[in-house]
Amino acid sequence: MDKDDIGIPNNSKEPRISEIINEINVRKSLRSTTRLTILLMLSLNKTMTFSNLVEVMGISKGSMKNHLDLLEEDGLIKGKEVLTLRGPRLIYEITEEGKKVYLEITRLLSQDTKL
Amino acid sequence: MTNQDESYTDLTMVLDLFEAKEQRYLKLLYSKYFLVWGTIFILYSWIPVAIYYSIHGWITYVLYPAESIALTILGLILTKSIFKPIVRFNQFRIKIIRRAIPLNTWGFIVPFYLTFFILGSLISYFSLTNKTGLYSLFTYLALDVMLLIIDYYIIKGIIISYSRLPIEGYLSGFSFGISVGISILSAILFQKDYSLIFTIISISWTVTGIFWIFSSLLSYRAYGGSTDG
Repeated sequence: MDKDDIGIPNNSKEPRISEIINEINVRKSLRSTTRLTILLMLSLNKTMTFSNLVEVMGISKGSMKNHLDLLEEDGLIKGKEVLTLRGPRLIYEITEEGKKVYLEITRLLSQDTKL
Repeated sequence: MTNQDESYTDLTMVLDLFEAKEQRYLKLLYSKYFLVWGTIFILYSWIPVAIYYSIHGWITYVLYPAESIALTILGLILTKSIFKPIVRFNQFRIKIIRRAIPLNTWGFIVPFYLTFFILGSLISYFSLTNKTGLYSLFTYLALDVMLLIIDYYIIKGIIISYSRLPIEGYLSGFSFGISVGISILSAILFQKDYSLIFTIISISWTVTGIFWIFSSLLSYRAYGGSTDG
């Protein structure tokens, strides 16, 4: 199948919004607007620091940690500490499982014409 | 326990939130881009001056183009790295979010094509009447034209990301275009007075570098980042 950089299939079929809803609802960690947004952001940006996520989402560090922990427990993202010139940083990235979920969601979204 | 657990019925809200947050994150990436090129423009201006006053002989003919090319390659590598997420978001915005992108970008494109037209005319006229200084002129031209093309695509990328050109886009785009024009004109008008050409070009690109660093600060301010990482 022909795909572009963000993994969107170029040939579309019938719109099936219910499939997207089911795909999201089947995973508890994705039943949150914030967590789904974080998954989409990590899918497109590949890696983001904990601080960047807190700043962009505009929520507290504690709340962000809870959201990230849930996504990590579900195997969709993983966090790792890296040493930078500005000291140690907590970086999050999408996992292979997370990529699959993202691609499935974008595949279904690209087929849908009326969100 | 986190909040907002729910069953989905409306994905529009999710995509709207994602678009707003990602656009905010991209401000950080654009800030890095402006900072990289702002710094490079200033280095473009002052490294040749340092070479001029510290090194003599034939080696300078190699060093002048070498430092420009090395800086340009460094800038391109960093730009490519910075822009990968931006390109992915722009594709996502067009194909998934299906946000209307303004097709009429002539207001931004015309100044660039106009610059190309003026440069082309002047180069043709110059190359037919006087062969002196052609080497140095074409070295500048090759770099300037390449940077102009890159800047054009960057501005177009910003417009796709935000559906408009923010103030930092105007500042960077037009200061860049003006500096390209000044570089070329000074090379043509004062072709025998190299120290004057170097002075004019160094000042104009330093000013452009300062504009770009200011654009970087504006973009970073729009991102709203802290400095504690």
